[in-house]
Amino acid sequence: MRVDYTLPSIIPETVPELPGSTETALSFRDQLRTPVSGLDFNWQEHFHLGSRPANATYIGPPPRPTSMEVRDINSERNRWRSMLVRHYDSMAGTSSSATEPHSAKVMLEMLVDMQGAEDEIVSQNAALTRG
Amino acid sequence: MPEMSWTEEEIYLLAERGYAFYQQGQYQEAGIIFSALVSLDPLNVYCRIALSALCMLLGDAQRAVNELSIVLQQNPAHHEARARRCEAYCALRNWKESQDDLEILRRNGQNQYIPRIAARLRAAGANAEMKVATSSARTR
Repeated sequence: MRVDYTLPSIIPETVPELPGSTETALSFRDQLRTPVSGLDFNWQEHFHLGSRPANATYIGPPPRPTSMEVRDINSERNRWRSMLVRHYDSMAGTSSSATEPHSAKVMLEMLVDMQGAEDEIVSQNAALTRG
Repeated sequence: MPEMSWTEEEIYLLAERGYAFYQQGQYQEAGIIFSALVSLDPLNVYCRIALSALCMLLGDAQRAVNELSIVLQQNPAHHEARARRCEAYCALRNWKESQDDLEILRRNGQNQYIPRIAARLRAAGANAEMKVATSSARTR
């Protein structure tokens, strides 16, 4: 005697062809990538993700000057380094050191020290990598 | 306007570095940068507000009040600075000044700040202390 183990109730029914579906329809992946239109609210706004918290200890990012162009990371590093060198050198000169505020000198010394430490780490890593 | 030898871009680069320190929790370093920036560019509101936030984080509420008062002298309609000063006054337990700022915010319809600051005033027992101060003034 032959036993049929197939349960009739879980046999998937054939899905009727939708009127708009064709062979060239978007794949599931493409459908996920397609921007969903028709939402009548912005979810970021809904959850107040864009609003700044009203808190005396909060700082937001600084506003970027409109004239400032965005460069690649190496150019940004060079810009930062050249700025530090220029101002540190001018501070070391006797003529301009009198005009720089004391707090600016403290800041520049701190940043130049940090830059030196960073350079040292990079050079040590490079030496280790070379072997 | 920044000092002659410092460009607007350089001020931005330094502010960005200060902001990065703040995000990493290095408040001392961020404070050093923003202290310098307010002396290099005294009218830069962002830097002054950032410095006030760092003063609050480092426990110097009085300096935060001073910095925010400078912003408000330049622009009394800067509601964010007023809300921050209100909170700094709370930290200093200067209830009268704090409530004055809160009242100005309320009058100007700045309702987004009011519930938090009012709750903070309540939590700090400002009402109780003010009642005591008022009753003691009456008995005199």
